[in-house]
Amino acid sequence: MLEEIADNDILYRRIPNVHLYEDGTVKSVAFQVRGKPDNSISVELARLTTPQEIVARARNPDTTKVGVLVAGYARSLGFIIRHDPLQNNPAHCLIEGENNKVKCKLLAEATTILTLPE
Amino acid sequence: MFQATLIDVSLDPILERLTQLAQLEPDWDSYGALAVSPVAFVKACQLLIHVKYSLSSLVGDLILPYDAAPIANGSLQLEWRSPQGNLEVEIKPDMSFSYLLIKGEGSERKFEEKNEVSLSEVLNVLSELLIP
Repeated sequence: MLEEIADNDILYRRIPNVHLYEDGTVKSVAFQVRGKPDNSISVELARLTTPQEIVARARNPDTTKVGVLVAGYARSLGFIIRHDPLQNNPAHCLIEGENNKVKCKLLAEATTILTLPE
Repeated sequence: MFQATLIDVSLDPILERLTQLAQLEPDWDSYGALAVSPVAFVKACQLLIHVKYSLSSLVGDLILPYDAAPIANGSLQLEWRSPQGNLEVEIKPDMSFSYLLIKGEGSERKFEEKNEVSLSEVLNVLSELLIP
């Protein structure tokens, strides 16, 4: 069943350490792929998963953090957010729409990194 | 008076960082990222050498990027910061450049984004950023 994504829904995205500045803030490149800023950004709906599950799905869990983004902020940049459940990941969502480097920068600045308990 | 010379500014640390990034395996971001393109790696190194020879005598170690990062499409990004603003330059596997220039702060912040730019354009915008 597809979920409606509310503006106050929390979205998670895996952020590899190479996409973090030393102060823990997120680089704009975390939202870029395929030769241009990504027009279809994979995220996960927080209420359907846990940060631990997200890290566990990472190729390199030891060098991966969980970034937190509020759905309404992505919408304010003109993106559409839709639930796109996958067989092995029912929380999967897509942030879709015209993207550019400025929007990647703004998304990165609006993303905070979760500190997970040891 | 500022008296930096070419040998004052070593590119070794940033070249070493780029070498590390070039060794990332595919899917390093868990979203299917490509490995860093050898072409992008070489072009990034060449860009740094051009920047050094063009600007180090004028701005010293400000030529050194604040950051280097891989992009999932096989590109590399170099970022410079100065009191005048920030510049993020993408070096792509097809040997082209694009950049995002950010000037000002808060509500006064201005963005300039350009794609498919030449090396000389990158050097020009970087000069304007680094030379007060």
